[in-house]
Amino acid sequence: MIRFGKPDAKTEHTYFEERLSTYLDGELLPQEQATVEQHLDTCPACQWDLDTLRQTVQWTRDLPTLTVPRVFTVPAPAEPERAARPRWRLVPVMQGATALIALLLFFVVAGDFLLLGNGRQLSAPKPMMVQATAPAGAVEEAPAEEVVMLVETLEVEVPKEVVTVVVTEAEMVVETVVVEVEVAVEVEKVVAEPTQTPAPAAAEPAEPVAEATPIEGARAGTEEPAAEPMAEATSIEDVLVEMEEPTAAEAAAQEMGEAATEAPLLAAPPPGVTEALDAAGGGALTPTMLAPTLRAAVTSTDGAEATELALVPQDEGEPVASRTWGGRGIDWVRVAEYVLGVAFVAFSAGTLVAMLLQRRVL
Amino acid sequence: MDEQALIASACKGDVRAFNQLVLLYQGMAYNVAYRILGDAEVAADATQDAFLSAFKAMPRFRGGSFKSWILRIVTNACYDQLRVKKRRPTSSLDDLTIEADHTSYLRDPAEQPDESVERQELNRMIQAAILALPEEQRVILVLSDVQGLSYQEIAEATGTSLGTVKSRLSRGRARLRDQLVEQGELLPARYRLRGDEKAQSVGGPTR
Repeated sequence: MIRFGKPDAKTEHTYFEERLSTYLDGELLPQEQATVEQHLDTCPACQWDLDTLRQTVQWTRDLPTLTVPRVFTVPAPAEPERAARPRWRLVPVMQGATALIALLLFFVVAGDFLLLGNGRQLSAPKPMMVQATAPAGAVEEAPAEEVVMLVETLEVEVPKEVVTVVVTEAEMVVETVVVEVEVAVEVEKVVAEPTQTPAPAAAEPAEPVAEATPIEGARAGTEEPAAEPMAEATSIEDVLVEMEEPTAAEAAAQEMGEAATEAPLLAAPPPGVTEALDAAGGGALTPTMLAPTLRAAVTSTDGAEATELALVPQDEGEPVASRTWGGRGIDWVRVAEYVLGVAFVAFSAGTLVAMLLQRRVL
Repeated sequence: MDEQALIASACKGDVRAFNQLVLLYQGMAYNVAYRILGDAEVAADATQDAFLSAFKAMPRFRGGSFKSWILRIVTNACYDQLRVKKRRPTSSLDDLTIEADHTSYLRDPAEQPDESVERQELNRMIQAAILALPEEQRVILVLSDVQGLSYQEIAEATGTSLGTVKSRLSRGRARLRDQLVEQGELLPARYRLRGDEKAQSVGGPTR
């Protein structure tokens, strides 16, 4: 039986009452503990509180410890699920990668056919070079038609002086195809003695000219070309006359040279042009597309002794839409197509394997 | 394998190591839950939920007192059970009524047969008084006086300050004492807290 003495009412009773619980646990600071103990000596009410609290805490601590009704261990996660996790993640990744590669491959191939394909076809023909040279004497004696024949025979002789006419852009009408041609004439004087050694460019035989087809086209073209090229040729004459102002003695020979110049310009859509027109399917070709194939170098002689006629490409061997970089001749679009194709096949196979693994077929 | 090694392994997801820790702490967890909730089945559910939550949270355990960490999860699980109980106030009130009116028919399954009937009555009275405490005071009083945790451990387990632990424990103990004083006539004479003299002199229980 616990007996409590009759407490007295004290000031600051609440203050100490709040600290009795902590005092019971011995958790008060030393100074607070001394103050509480001093107060307890003089305050029966706080002493009663302390005694009843101590008894209550003791009874609570004496509550029996219950035995657990069951074991609370947690179940182990199923091992197969963990093993399967990576495979479940692998399949969507592989599918996404395969789809991405397929998309890239589609765009590259489509772009190759739709955009770069034309450029490749245009650039496919070899450089068009029509260089006709004739001996001075032959040119003097031969009429324009015979000059054409000389071109066909490809007799290369020594030019004396060279007048180069560069046709950067040409305008032609071939059947229904309208080709805009803008003629720019560039005249160069090359001072040379009549007996000088042949110019290196002229000395080289022009292989494309050796092919019969363009020349045949040129022959046929002499009869049916439209009027416009003739007019252009006339302007060439004017320019030549203006710039050169040849002497009377040179005039005859220069006329001979110009006559020779007219022939291929009128008659011969250069081989490159012919194929380009075919490739365009009857559509209009822009001057830019034709530029490289329509550079004609027409040579004449200042001394009226020799004539050279040439159609040379603007950039030797350089395609219009170049797909090669650095001059190494690597077609990067084709390389990309091959790489993407191989990657597509590999990832498709990988996706299939991953799906089979997921379904535990393998 | 010592406890720190078990904790380290459990943090890496080793369920066997964690279950070793469960066997070490399940008695403490269940007793705390039972004293807070007052029902063996509900306490078992709370304990199981707590250990499942603890296993999921093990990778986030950052050292310190594992006991305090587990007890914090246990008390949170108890709060969850109390919230569920509050959603069904009718059945809860019925349970309390039955417990108050027919305490002699309720037997704590953990009590030993050789304990005196008087002591059993006192224990039931204390448990009922604990359940009558506000939840915050109840949790701290259980952790302190039932489980014997230090103030620091209680502060860690409840996420409160030492000052809060002290004040809530002081009010909880005083309230528990006052209930025992009020119901003293229901107890055997030797378990009565004689508070009538105090009530006359200082105006009765302060809270």
